Amino acid sequence: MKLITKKNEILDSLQVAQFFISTGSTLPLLSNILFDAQDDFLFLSATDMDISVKIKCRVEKVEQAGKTTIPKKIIPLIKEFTDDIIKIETDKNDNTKVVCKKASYKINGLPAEDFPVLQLDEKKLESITIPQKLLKEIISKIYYAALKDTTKRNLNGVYFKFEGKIIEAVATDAHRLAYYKTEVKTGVKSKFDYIIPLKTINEIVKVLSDDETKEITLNFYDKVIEFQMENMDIVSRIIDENYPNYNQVIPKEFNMEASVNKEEFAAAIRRASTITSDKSKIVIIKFEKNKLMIIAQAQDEGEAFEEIDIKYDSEPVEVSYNAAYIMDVLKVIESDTIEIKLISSMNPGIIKGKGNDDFLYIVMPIRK
Amino acid sequence: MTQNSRKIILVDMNAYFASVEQASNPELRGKAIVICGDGRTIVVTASYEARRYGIKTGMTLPEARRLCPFVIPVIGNLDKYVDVSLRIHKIMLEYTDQVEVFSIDECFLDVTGVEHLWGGAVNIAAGIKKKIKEQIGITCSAGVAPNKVVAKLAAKSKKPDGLTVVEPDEVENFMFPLPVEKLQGVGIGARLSEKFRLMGINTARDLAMADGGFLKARFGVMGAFYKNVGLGRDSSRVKKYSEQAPVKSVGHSHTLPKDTYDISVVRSYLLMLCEKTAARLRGYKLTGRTVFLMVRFGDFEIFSGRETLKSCFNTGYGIFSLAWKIFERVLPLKKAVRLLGVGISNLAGGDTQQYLFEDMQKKQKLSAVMDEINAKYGELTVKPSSVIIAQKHGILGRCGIISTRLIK
Repeated sequence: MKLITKKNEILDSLQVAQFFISTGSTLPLLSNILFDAQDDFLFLSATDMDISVKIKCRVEKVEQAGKTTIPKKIIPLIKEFTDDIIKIETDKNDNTKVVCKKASYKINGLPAEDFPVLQLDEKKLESITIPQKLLKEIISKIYYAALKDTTKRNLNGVYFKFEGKIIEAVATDAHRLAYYKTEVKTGVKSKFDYIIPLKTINEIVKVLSDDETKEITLNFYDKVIEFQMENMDIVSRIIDENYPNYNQVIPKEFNMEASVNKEEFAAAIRRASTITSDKSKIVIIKFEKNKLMIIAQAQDEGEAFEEIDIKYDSEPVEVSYNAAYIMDVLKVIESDTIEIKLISSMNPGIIKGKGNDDFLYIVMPIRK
Repeated sequence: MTQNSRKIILVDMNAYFASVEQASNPELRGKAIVICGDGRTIVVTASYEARRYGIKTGMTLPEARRLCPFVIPVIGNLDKYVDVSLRIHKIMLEYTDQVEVFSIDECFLDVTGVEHLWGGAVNIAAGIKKKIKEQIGITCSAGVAPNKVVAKLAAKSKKPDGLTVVEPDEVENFMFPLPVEKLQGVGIGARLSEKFRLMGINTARDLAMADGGFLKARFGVMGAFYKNVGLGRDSSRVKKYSEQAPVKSVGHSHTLPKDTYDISVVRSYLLMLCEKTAARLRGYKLTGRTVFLMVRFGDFEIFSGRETLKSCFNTGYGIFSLAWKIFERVLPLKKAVRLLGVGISNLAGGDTQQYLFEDMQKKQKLSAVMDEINAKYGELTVKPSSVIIAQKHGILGRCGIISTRLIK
């Protein structure tokens, strides 16, 4: 392999590839990036065996097509080069020479033939193409609610369901749940549902574009899912387990309903949570006629009291929540006004933006 | 040697829980009382008056009653004991900040370098004893020695209300005549001293003179430690009071009746320890999120590990699933398992975050109901069925408490 490139042509792609390199793998090959040069394009691949990425970037010139794998230390090296022509040349023993002006480096690599590729199942079931911006919106509204450890494997991911033109997405850690539902122009013929690992979601959300015109195609296979973008192709395993019945826990009828200014509420919760102890961020929220009070106490440390004006005309009620769960959702709601709907102080409560029915957040109280 | 010039004091409260109860209730003074757990019938501490009848920690209440029909059972109040401990710590902290809380009723002090301010280490020990008696109303035994091991044994040598001083040049004279059973509390348990006896090691002197290579072959890294105990040598440091305040954990450990390779037996014991730990945790109205597991093998080698979750929990199964995950690291077993210890730390308040899904809610309710029944009818009346294997293998109810340091 022999090619000539400019720093800015490949640096961004290399940095994206770096997200996908496995950390702490015992297999040296998995700490490397696969370089595959052909027709003035360089294809970079990285994987940790659960998720893999292939990125296409145009380079100045490919003088000799070929493949090799190079350790990830090439990334900080290229980052530190000046904006000049960089020559990358690999010998038959997979040792790569990187030359920029008068600097010359040799990096020992490994053969490309052994580099593991996540196999797509033979038969693609179906696919759907949607704007990248929409997928980014869905993910960022809900993914923080997923379980962050693997004690319950099926919750350590984001659930997607595609049925006709409807996309539903859910994330939960069993104490709170974030739900998104939307309709797209062109849907799927049949029905697909997948739990996509949180790790994959964390990487995907980093590469999705805000540009309205860019699209992404999701290819559905039996045990994997493929995300195809203009210059990038991501393949991820799915979590092959059952997702809990989320429809059952989304309350449909309520006894109390409050309308609250989001900024005021968020600021008050943030202040009150400074008083709560690090481990259990409990805040008590009291609803009375047209006012909401937030009370927090930490033994021997202090107390917080906040009062804000709201629209509320039901019975007075008092509920305890984990402040972190409330702050999480207030960060992603865009509406100026939020709606809080409750059945009682022991049942799940709903928080959503006023006038936006795509997104719902359900949170369980804390029992004192 | 600098080691010989250290001045270490160990202060050990006499029959601590019983003394606190007697100090706070004049009607109990001078009487045979035993402290029992709430809803349980195991003697946690016996007053000196009760000990005269042969009543010991770990006996059941009926056993104690057989020895002394008029013994008074008192339900223990951990909050009260922790509170009194904190007041005792304050007394000791007037002399130095090198106060290591070793257990709820024992503290080490390193007074090296400050002893001259108070007329010597012995005067400090005497002063602490006097203040505890005056301010709290209970007695304690103190040992003054060049290191922690000897200080602890010195304090133990005269109870109650003793003050024993071992100067650096008296260490061997003090240590050597001690039979190995008397070395309990400094890392040599009852079963280990039995093993020593079988090897012909009967006294601290025998242990000190034993061949280092032999001890190493038999006990691994612990061999050298045991030999040093025999010699009365110990270079371990007395921690500062501020270093240990955040340590908060609840746990149980259990030596299996017989070393085993049988995973299902280990699993069953572990589940039992986790259930007990969880029940205690819930009893204190706490939750935790770091589980630690300690495994001692037949050759005394120790494996330990910990796992931390993002959110707090307090169910036996929750603790068990992490403990088992840690245990899986030593599978397949190369050596027989001798002892298991499990605990939970990173504790937080016990207000329980409710679950959204019905199956998880059910588990939460199950624990609460289990606690209620077990509090009324005795520990482990209701338990997961897999604990029965452990019960068949013997000795339930005598699991030692690894540590309960609830320092507020």
